[in-house]
Amino acid sequence: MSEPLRILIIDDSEDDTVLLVRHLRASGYAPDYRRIDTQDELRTALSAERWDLVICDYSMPQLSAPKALRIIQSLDRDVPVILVSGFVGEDELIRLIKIGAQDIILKSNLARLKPAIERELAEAQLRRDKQRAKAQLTTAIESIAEGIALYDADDRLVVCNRKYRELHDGSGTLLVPGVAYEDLVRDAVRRGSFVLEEGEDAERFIQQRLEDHVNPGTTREIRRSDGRWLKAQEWLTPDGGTVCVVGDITGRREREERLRSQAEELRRSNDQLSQEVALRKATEISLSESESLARAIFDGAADGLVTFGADGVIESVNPAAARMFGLGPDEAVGLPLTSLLPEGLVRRTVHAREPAWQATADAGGTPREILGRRRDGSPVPIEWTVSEVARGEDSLFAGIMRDITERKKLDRMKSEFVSVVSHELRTPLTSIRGALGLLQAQVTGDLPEQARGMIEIAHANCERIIRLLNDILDIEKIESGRMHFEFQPLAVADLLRHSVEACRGYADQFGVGLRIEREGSGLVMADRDRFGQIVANLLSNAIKYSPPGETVTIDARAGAGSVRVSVRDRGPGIPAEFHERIFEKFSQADSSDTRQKGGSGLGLSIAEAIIERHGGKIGFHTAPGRGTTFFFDLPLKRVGARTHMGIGAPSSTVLVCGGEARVRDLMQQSVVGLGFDAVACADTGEAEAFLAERPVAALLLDVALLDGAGVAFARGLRAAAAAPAMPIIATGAAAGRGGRLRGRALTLVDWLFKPVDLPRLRIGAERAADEAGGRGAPILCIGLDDALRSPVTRMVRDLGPARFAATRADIRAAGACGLAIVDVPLGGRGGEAALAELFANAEAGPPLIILSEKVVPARVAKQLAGALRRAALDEEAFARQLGALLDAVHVAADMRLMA
Amino acid sequence: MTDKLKRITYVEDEPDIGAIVQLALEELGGFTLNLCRSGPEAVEKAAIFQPDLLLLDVMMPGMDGVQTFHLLRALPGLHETPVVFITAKAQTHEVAHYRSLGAADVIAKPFNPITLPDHLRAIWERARAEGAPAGESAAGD
Repeated sequence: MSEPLRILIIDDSEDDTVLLVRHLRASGYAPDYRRIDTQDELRTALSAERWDLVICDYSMPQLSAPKALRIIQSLDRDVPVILVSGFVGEDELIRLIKIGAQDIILKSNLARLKPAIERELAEAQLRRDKQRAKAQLTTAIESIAEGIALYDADDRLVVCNRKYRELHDGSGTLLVPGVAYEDLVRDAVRRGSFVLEEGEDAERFIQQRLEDHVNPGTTREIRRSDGRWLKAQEWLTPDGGTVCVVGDITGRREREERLRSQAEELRRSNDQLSQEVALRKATEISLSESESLARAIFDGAADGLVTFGADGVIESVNPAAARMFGLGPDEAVGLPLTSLLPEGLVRRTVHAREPAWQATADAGGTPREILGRRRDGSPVPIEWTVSEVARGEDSLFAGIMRDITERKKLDRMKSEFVSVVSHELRTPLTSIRGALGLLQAQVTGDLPEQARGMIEIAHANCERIIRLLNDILDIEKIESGRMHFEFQPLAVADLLRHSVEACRGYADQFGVGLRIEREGSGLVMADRDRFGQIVANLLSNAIKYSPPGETVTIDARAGAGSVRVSVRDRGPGIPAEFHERIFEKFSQADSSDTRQKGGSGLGLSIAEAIIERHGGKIGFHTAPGRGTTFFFDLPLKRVGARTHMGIGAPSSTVLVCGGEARVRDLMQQSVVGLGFDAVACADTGEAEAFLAERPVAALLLDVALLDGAGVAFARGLRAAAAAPAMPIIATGAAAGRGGRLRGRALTLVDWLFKPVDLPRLRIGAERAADEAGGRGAPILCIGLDDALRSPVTRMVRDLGPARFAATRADIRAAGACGLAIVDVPLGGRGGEAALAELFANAEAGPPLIILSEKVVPARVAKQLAGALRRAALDEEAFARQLGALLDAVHVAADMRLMA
Repeated sequence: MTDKLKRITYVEDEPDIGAIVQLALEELGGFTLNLCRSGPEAVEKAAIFQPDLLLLDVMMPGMDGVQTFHLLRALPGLHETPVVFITAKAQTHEVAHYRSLGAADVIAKPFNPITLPDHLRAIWERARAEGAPAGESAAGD
């Protein structure tokens, strides 16, 4: 059977073709052929069909053999071409072979055709097989996930797959067969594709890479600067080439990295946990230790201990406290503290957090003596100290109670003893003094000179014993707290004059002069007699220690909020070593002094105690040989604005500021009718000038002035340390028929600009609460924006519950309140009506703290004025309201002073 | 009542003080003194003596000065006679107490015998001017 053979014959001669085919058939082939003789036919045939062989005539008129060969080559058809030619020169032969002819058969030697065909077919088959194998290999390496590359023995790229190119995408067009590996590496290093180690030399890196490449065996993991991790494995091929397999292990490395950091994190938290566990264990141990200790102290303490919550309910009492009140061990738990202690004290402690009380608690607890109540109702005197412990939001209070029944009994016995002894001594002394006095006065007749001298000595010493007795009694009274004081506002100058006059006789005896340098000014809350005693004690010392002929000077000078009274002598001064003991009982610089100077050694001690009861302090300066100055400071009674040095009388002056002249006059009359002096000022400037000269009891400020300057004035007065308490009363009034005033007034506690200074708000709220006579009344916050609500609530929490209102209805619903904090303007006429509602609640209305923007006071003043007009009271009611406002603040000021 | 203080009833249990006061009031003051050693003795004699002023010690055994005061005041002719206590118990609150009872004044022991007559005279005149037994004056000498 002959082999099928598809042959494309390029020949212009039909006859030659027939001859050729016949020869092929004779050679055993069954050719399926087509003859063509033009370029176009050639192109078409090659493009459309598959041929086993092309036999081409050498010389043709339309298409030359070289031309045909070039077309075949250009179409890249792997088909063998055999030329059949009459004659071909050797040069031409070589040229033809170069351009693709597989063989050249002479027409004269067609016998060679068969073997040539056989050979060419076999070679073509081989080529096809190779092609297929190569395609399969390519498919294979392209299908694997790793990048694969083959480098030849010269380390030039032979082949690589797509993945390899992807992994080396930076190399771009460089990555083509034939490129030297070194060039690739250098390029990559130049581009910074690799992450070099710190300080690593690039050239060294390249050399290392090249060396590794030709001596493979190790697996390398390479960090690329784009963050990827590549893993490269290389093998040598038998012919000295290198196969490279490169994988992207970024994911793995990241997972590993994550794992590593997780492990690290785990290790760290484990360590931390271990530490915490250890710490907790240690804490638990020490906690349980300190708990046991606390328990032991609690149970074993001789003093009574009680803990109670902010609700005033007892949470625990120790055995000592239970015994103190005649209670069983757990009987007290759950009882209100008021069942054991005075109600007022408990209220002040846990509810009102009375500042002074708080202060003692903060200072570590200054004990107070109080009277507790046993279960059977009998009283038990207790020394009570309380401290507050924060417990979450809440507070826990711990009270320490010492039963002072015994101490009280001893105190009483001592007092009685001193008292009885003193009085018993008085009786014989009365006789001795009386007898000596009469003898000295020679009532019984003339005495010899010597006898008179002796009697004088006896009389003087008798006087001294009496003074000593009086001083001992005073000390005893001070120590037992039974010294009575009748405090009242008194003018310093007056007190001083009287006290000094009382000592003039004594000074005369010593030939010492007394001179008042400055009488001082202002009022002090004092007991007249006790004040006299202070001055007498200081003066008698100064007189006794002054050389005859010298003068003791007395000086009083008002400072900031207090007056300093000084007594200066020209005596020998006080030795330094005695300074510390000077106010101790029975202390005199030189014990021989006691006898020589006739003092009891108690005078300074008594003076100090009396001064302290007046809220003052005593001190001294001394210079050996040049004299001594004793001085004491007493707080001045606050009567109005800035304390001024020149005032000697209490201020009952009310300053009426602003408003129409006629209204101002009527207001002035109204105030005078209430028992005050009244001064009228047209504007804040005048008022300021007046206040700089004299203090006033209160300021009535026409509400129309509360635009810019007026607000600044009011704010300034409030902020001034010297005048924190002077009431500022804003008034809105109009003259009615018959010359009487209709209007409204309100106490302006403070005026704050936004952002609100919360501590200052607190100070104002405290003052308002104190002047209203107590805390706990609701604080009405009107028109406050949401952001302010919670800080304000927190700030005033212990002064009273904060209620929020925005509209007239809200205000009406809220009812009476102790203070109103109003954020103005409240907007439109609705706001004005809301404010009017606030004032209409009660005749006197609540004191006000106003919050506003700095720039709108004019509008605010208008709104306030409108609200006051709307709520205006008739003539009588207005006068009553003014009276109530002025009285309230006056009383409050006095209460503070007494406290 | 007369124009001038002349007759004084003085109640004092302590004889020494009694003697001194007697000397001072009679010799220096020129008064007529009715010195009684106890409250009951005063109650017995005062209505007859009809003093212009009653001077009473406070701390006495048996009937004390305050009791004596009440009894004397109940006697005819002595309803409005000024009373002065002369006592060692003369602290502020005690003085206030005697005054509240209706005493014209209180003189603290030890007192100065030399100034005592003038002091009593001043108290008496003030009390008479006020037309009532109560008065205001600094205690002591």
